[in-house]
Amino acid sequence: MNPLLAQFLVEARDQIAATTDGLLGLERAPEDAELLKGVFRSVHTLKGSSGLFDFPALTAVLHAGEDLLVALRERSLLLDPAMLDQILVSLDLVAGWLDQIEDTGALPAGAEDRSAPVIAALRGWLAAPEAASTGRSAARPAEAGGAGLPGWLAGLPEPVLLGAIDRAATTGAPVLAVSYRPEAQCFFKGDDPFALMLQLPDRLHLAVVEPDPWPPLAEYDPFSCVVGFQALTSAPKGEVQHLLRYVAEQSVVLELGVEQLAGLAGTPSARTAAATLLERARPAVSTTAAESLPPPAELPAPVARLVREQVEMLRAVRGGAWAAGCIGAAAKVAANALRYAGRADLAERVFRTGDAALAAGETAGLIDALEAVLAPPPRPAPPPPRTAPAATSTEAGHERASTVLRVDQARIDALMNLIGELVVAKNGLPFLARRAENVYGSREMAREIKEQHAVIDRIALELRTSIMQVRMLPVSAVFQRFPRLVRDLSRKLGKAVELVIEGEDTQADKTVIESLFEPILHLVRNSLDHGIECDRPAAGKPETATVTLAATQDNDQVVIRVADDGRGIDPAAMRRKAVEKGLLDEDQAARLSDADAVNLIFAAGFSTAAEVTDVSGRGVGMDAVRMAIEKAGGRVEVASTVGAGTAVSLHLPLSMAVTRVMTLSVSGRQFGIPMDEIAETVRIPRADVVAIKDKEAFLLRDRIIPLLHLDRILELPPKADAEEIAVLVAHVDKQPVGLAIEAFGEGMEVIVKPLEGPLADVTGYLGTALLGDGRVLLVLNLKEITV
Amino acid sequence: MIRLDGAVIRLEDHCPVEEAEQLLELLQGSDSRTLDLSGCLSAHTAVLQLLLVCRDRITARPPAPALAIVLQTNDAVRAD
Repeated sequence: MNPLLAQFLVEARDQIAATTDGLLGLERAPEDAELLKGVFRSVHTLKGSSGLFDFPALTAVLHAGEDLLVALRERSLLLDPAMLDQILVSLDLVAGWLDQIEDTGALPAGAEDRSAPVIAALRGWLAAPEAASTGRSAARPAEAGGAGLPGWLAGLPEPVLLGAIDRAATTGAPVLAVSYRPEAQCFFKGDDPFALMLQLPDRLHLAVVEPDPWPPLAEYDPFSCVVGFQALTSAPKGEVQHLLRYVAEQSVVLELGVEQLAGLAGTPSARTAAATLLERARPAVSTTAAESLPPPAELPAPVARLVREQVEMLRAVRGGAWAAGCIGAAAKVAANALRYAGRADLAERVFRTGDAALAAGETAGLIDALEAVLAPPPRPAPPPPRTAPAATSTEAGHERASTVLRVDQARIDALMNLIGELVVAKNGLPFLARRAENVYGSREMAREIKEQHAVIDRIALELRTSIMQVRMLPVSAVFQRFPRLVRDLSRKLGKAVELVIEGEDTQADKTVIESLFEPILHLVRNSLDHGIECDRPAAGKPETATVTLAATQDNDQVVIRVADDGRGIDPAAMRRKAVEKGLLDEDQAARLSDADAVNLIFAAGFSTAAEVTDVSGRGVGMDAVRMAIEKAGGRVEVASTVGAGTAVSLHLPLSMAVTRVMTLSVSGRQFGIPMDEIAETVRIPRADVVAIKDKEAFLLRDRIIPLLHLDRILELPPKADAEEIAVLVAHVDKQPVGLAIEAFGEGMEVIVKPLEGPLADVTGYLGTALLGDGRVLLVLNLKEITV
Repeated sequence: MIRLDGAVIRLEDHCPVEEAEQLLELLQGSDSRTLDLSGCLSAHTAVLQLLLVCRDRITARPPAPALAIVLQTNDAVRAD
């Protein structure tokens, strides 16, 4: 896949996630302009970048969505839940297509057909209020002035008007009046109306239309465009329209003939001046050059443009203290430009005229001199290099390099594997030290190797911690999918639910985070479907239920809590159900504590919901949650109070990549057991072992603990009876179990690789780990071997 | 680029849209702050709008003619 597309896919997913978040936030706080802006920006960016590729259906859907958001921004539409549904559905469609694009590089066949109804639905919202707001849209043509000329033309400063008449008269071409009223949110589309106006070729005049009055500074919104622009130009209409092609709807371009311009002259003096200009212009059309100073060679376009800008500025000067500064600056700029163009003669003259004008405080002399320099008047103007400003602005944008890297996960995994191998290789050094001492009899050598080992050990540890940090993700990565889900579910079930998310900054390893989604999904569904009552006011509770999704870090574990304030789990009902299902007999059920009874919900094949709904499953839900979490090395707990709610806690290791194991030997073979399952190691005299029927047990601090012989379980040759037995006390499902072994080994950190291929079905093992001396260590799964 | 130099807000080089918010905050920060545009080569419309609102606080005009023109009016001009 080409890297640009790959980048697009990554960013597009982010944008969709951000948009979804924003939309859900908006549903709760429809007045939040910041959220709306954020949503608009995301969709706009997404649409913009999708345009780089050939996915017309995708771009079209986004475009429709963007238009709808524009209407929301302008407050010509109000967000309602059904509209939100529509936007979310269109985002889902786009997200689905992104997956397709990732797999196949193209949109699926029939994408156009699927996009059509979605677009129609989105546009449908727009069409409705459009009719209602005709008053608003009717205002526009009036401004454009159907019959007469726009009002603002009559207000043009006299020098500007006369300049325009002069230009029109000498060129014989009409002058264009451009008025441009950018839409308020145009900044978010990347528009810079002022810069656009500055690009207008052969500009004779530019004025800003300001709001009246300006909003007070305290309430000022810097990202809303409130100004408009009015300009006159002598450039050809086609060129101007091309420049304004993206804002054609927001701008009006009118052609003004020289007579129309002359008709705009308001004062008698201006009328006379205009008439003179017209008179003068008629013969001048053929003999323009005659009246100017020594016929100058044509000036290079940029220089001519600079000089023309100075004229324009001088014309606009209306006296006051600025005038002097303007005259000085204009003369200097024009002279420099001319000198640059190799016209030192003209430069000198302009400079001297400038001095004179400065002394007199009059702009007229300098204007005349500069006009003379510019003659012959511009023919179908050499357009200014329009690409130049754009280029500089993008360069400026690139200066701010991002400090965040997006790295393919495979690269991090490769790094992780290498570090794993380094750890394994490092673990080989103590073996080497032992060999040096035992086989080659060099204690000193052994000591040095151990020293080196300590150094490498430290570096490897830091390296591992660093890479762990890289793999750490905030739980918000999974949590962020839930607001949408809860919203959809609550609408489907007709229950009002508020989702509260806490501690979304809590971090854990990426694999852990990714393993969380399914279990949390089951739990949230269960809460909404079974936990939350249909008629809450009847139970004396507020109409809106609360579901809490909270993450906290507890030592080297991350704890995810899914809690609701629903009806809770009734232990009595659980006992009854367990007996009905044949999971327990009546005696067993009666002996269960309330807490244990509630925990029955995790037993396989247990579902208390009388009816199966399409929201939560068929009694595999909670069982599946427990399996998934245990597979990821975690555990599940549930606490519930009847009538007050249920809270399920998922405890997971922060990181799954490295496991601390303890090695032990049984019948001369080495095995590993995850350290966190081990409670303690004890040696008990053989005499203390008591037999209870065919089972064995021993007494540890006044507690009877069942004793299992690992060699028998693993069907290994039995070891010789010794006076003392090495017993490893482990917790399996919170119950202590003693494992009789031959000898304790050492604790070490290994990377446990699950059994794969033909071995995948072998039970009793978590997986394998490579030892420092190259042997393979089998890591036992205590839960499976002790059943 | 926009920076605060004592009580003077200096606009330098090119002032893109991102800086409008910063400028607004600086202008809101104190009424006595003045604007020095002598180093300002271009300003985004969002920045320009703010300059228009506070044009009576401009003490040094920009070298770019087009920018200077749209910022100046009869009634609100101060000495350089």
